[in-house]
Parts: sequence; structure tokens; C-alpha cells
Amino acid sequence: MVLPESPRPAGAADPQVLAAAGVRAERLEARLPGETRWRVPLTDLPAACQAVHQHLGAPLITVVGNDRRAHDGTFHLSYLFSVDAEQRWVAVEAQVPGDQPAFPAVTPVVTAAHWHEREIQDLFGLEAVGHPDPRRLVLHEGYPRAYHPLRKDVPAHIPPPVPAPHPFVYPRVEGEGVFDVPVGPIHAGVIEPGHFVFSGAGERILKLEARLFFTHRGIEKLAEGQPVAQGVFVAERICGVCAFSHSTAYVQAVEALAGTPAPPRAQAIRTLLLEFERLYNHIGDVGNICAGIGFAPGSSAGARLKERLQELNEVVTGHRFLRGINCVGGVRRELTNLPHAAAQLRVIKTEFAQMVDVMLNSDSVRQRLDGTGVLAAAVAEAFGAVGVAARASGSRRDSRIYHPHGLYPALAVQATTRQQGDVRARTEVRIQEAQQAFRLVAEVLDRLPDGPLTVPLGPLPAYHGALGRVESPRGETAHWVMVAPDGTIYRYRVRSAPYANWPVVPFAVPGNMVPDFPLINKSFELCYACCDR
Amino acid sequence: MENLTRLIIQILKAGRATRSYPTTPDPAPPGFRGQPVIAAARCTADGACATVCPSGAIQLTPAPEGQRWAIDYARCIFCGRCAEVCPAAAITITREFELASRTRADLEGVVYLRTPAPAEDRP
Repeated sequence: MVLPESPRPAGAADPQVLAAAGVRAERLEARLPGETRWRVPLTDLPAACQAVHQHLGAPLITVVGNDRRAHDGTFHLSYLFSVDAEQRWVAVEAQVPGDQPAFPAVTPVVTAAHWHEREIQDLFGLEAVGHPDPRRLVLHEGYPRAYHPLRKDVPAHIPPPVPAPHPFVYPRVEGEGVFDVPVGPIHAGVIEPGHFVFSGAGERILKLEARLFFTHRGIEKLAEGQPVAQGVFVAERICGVCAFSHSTAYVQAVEALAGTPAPPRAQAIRTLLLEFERLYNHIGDVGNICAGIGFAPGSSAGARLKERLQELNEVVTGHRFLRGINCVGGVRRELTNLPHAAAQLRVIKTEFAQMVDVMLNSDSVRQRLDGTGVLAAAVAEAFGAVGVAARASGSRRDSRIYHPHGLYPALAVQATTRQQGDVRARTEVRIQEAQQAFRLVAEVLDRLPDGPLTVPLGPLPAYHGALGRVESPRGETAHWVMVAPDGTIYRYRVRSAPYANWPVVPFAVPGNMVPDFPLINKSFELCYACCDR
Repeated sequence: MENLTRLIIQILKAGRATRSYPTTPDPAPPGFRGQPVIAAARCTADGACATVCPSGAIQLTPAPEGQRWAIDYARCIFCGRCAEVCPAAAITITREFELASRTRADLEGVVYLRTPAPAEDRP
């Protein structure tokens, strides 16, 4: 992506944009490079967000709710928007009085805020007034109405109430011959739980309703009170296959807050391992696409190569899922067996190319992949989709480019894009990104800088939100961390790529036939655990 | 070459990837973080391991003649922090990963430490 020249200083446009929308905004202290913060009156919140989103062309990154009643009697809301072209972000902040727990919903003007605001309803008990879909999201209907676990007065170590049996409320399709097919949350395979209801007439799917958050574990609450150094172990256990992306986003947030970035060798190691993670995910996912259409040679080849890549992870870092390497301030250990890894990767690259060649030249594969599960670019953009799913529908966003981290600024990362938005496009994006990952890994191995693995962490300012962003295999993952004066985590908000992308999956399904659903799902290959936390 | 022919050649070349584990052992590579094991003779009951353990798997509690050091391998996340912080280098991270057990009790590792009485109790 070519970044346009910007003659004005960062953030220069913001005051005019906000004033033009009739918003009274107060600039708040920024401490992190790339950060701009505006506090607005609660009633101006939707207008301010709309102004930043539309007139700065800034996609929503995440929304953070925070119970600050012990300090000032209010709940704080922060809506963060990414100004890609200027490699910075803008936070629009407002306060909700503790005794009037309601706020004007931003979703009607920024669609991508929809799940964030429903989550705030469930976990903080703040009503998003005017939200077009105010159903329960994170806490299913069976939880007591007054249970809002992210409030500070809900103790962390008391088990939550067991949800009562309850029906799933969803918009129904009526008509002659229309039937519903409910699938999950328990599936016929060792996979994560999610519930899907297809409404169809005959083979063609008319509508898909998806329900997630069966693996909501309260990770954000669990992190509260943990010493900042322990937070890494929480971050890397949010998900299995995005473990390294999550831990990197977390430690980057903390290091940015402290003003002490990790030393060059650690940054390079992180970059290398982020690409290792991308490789085993993408190659495994291409194999899974083959499993979704019953193309056994492809799924076997993919599984074989993925296993070899995970064994490489273990040989180089000691862990198949790259856990236990990141720490705040750098990395905990040196990499091992790098020459062996480089040789193995060359072999795997060739075998992957052969697997892809046979797969894409097979008529039966083409018939299933082409034109299936089309995600319209407008839908992807409106809902703030990221990563592979967005890039396969025309987006050029890749956070390795607009939020440079690690060694990426020195590597020429290209955003891989397709226009068709179908299963084939998402498959091709993965294939091409895997090919790029092989090249990036070779480049990093060539230029691993010497030096220490860690730096001492600087002082952590209390009660200031810090953002860390990383391009996980599925897309941009954003970790927001606020630290208390005693150096423990005060608030931890994780917006993974799957959280941004799950909402668009139901748009890619109608019009396809029922057997195409597993294939479409696999083409997005989103983690439930990342989304649900 | 026809696609099907290429496919068949690919399949023949790939051969059999499945290993006959556990009939053939499959040891973890060096650097793998497996079961933490304590050398009781070196332990000074410092407690750093218990403090730093992210999942609270290690407990150091008083026992009749000193202290009881216990690790719950079901809670252990194999992060290696205990070994990192031990001032006496009493904990080793081994490469052992075959830890499946028939009983929950079997997943606990316990050692008893005879520690000298605290200074203020000595005459």
C-alpha cells in the first residue's frame, strides 16, 4: 500500500472534522506514539464517531468499556479508529454516569460498533440506546439480567451463575416449505462450539443465524489484577493458533505504554515467529478447504505440511504453538536450530507449491470454490472486517503495513488482494500470503540483528490505555491495556480478527447450498476462542 | 502432464507420514518445555516459584518438620517461570510430556523439605 504524503502534522484534521460535526471535543493527553484522544459529551458520541469514521476515513479498531466509578463515578467508553494512511489512531472517549447506565448507540452511524456495544450491554450493564439489535451477545439469555461481570464490584473469583435453559432468539424466515436446520454448538468433529441455524427451502440457504460466545471464559476479567508480566501467559492462551499474535499484541501495548520498545533482536524474532504462525495456519487452512470439499489428497497434504511446520515451531522455540517466548520487554529465549529450519522451510515451500498446483488445476475443486460464499466488499467494509476475508473482497488493509511493528518496516510487505470475495479468492489470498511468508522468513533469518533479548520495562503510567496491534493469520488483532498504579492490569480489552469477521459470515452464505456452508466457514477459518474470550 | 498423473506421483512421493508412536518413542526436542521437576536437596523454600506461577500450580505450605512443596501438573501450563526464578536452581524443566494419568491425585508432585527453624526461634 502506498502511503500518501501528509504535509500536515498528525491529527491536524481532527479538530476541524469534529467541529464541522457540531461536536464539542476536548483533547486529552496522548502518551503513545500515534495516539490522539478526544473527550466528547455523551450526547455527542455518535456524531463524533461518525465524523471520525467517515471524514477521516478511519475504520473502527475496537470499543473499550471501563468501570471507573471508583475514581470519578462514571463508566468510560473509548471508540478507537485507525487512520491507516497516517499510521495513527484516534480515540473518541465519553463518560457514562454510574447512576444513569445508558448511552446513545453509535451503531446506527458506525455499523462496525454493533457487537462492541452489545458486549458492553452484557458485561457492563450499560444500555446502548437506539441499537438496532440489542439482543444478548456475550452472555446468553439464561444469565441473570443483573449480572454484569466486568463491573468492578463483581468479584472475579466467585464462579458465575449457571445459565438457565433458554431459547435462542433469532429472526425467523416464514413461508411455504421453509425449514430450519440447527447445527451445533456440539459438532461432529473436534472443533470449537458455535450454533448455526439455516433457514432454507430445498437445498438453497435463505438465511443463516449464527450464535457464538459458547467459549466465553471471562479472560478479560481474569487478567484484571494480574501483574503486567503475568499478562503474557493470559494473552497467549486466548487462542491456540493465534497464540503468538496475541502475546505480541499484548507485550507491544505494554512496551508502548512504558516507552521502552523491545530491542532489535527481539523485534526480529517476533517478526519471524509471527510469520511462522502465519505459515502453519495458512497452509493448514488451505488443507482444510480441501477437507471442506472432500478433496482428500489436498487435505492430507495440508495436514502433513502443517504438522511439519508445527514440529519446526517446537524445534526452533520449544513449543508447537509458539507459547512462552514473548515477555514484556522482549523475548525469553534464543531461537535454536535455525539452519535446519531454513532448510526445512525450503522443502515445505516446494511441497506446498506442488499441493496447490494439483488442487487449483482440479476441475472438481474449481467447481466447488469458484463463486461460492461471496462476501460483498461493501458488507466487509461496513462491518469492519479485517485480514484475509477483507482482502479477498478488495480491501488493501494489512496491519503490517499501516501499523508497522517488529522488523516489518524493513521488509517489503505487500497486501494480498482479490476482488471476487468468494471461497476461491480467500483461498488464493492465503496461498499468496504463505508464499510471501516464506520469503519474509528467509529475509529475517538473513538479517537477524545481534544484541540483547530484553530491555528493562520503563515506568508504566497508571490509568492510560495502551494499544498494541499485530497482523495475526486472520487479520488485525488489537489489544488494549490499562495498568493500575501497583503495576497490575486494570482493564484488558482484546479485539481479535475473528471478532471483527464473524459478523460478516452470515452475509456470505445465503443463496448457497447447505453443503457449501462448511466450505464457506472453512474459507473464513475464524477462531471461536479468539472471538469469545 | 495431466493433473491426475501429477497427483498420483505426489501421493506416491509423500509415502506414509504417520509414525508408529508410542511403539516407536518420539522424544521431544531439546528446548521443549515439559514437566518441571524439583531437586528437593537444593530447595531453600524461597517460594519464588509459587509466587510467580501464573496458574497457581505450585504450593509451599508448612509441614510437620519443615515445608511441603507441591506442584499440580493439571494446573501447570509448562511456562518454565518457576525454573527461571528459583534462586537455588532447584527446578529443572524436563522434556517429559507423557503425563497422562488415571487419577487426579497422580497429577500431584510432592516433596517434603526439612528446613532449619527460623532464626528468631533458635535459642
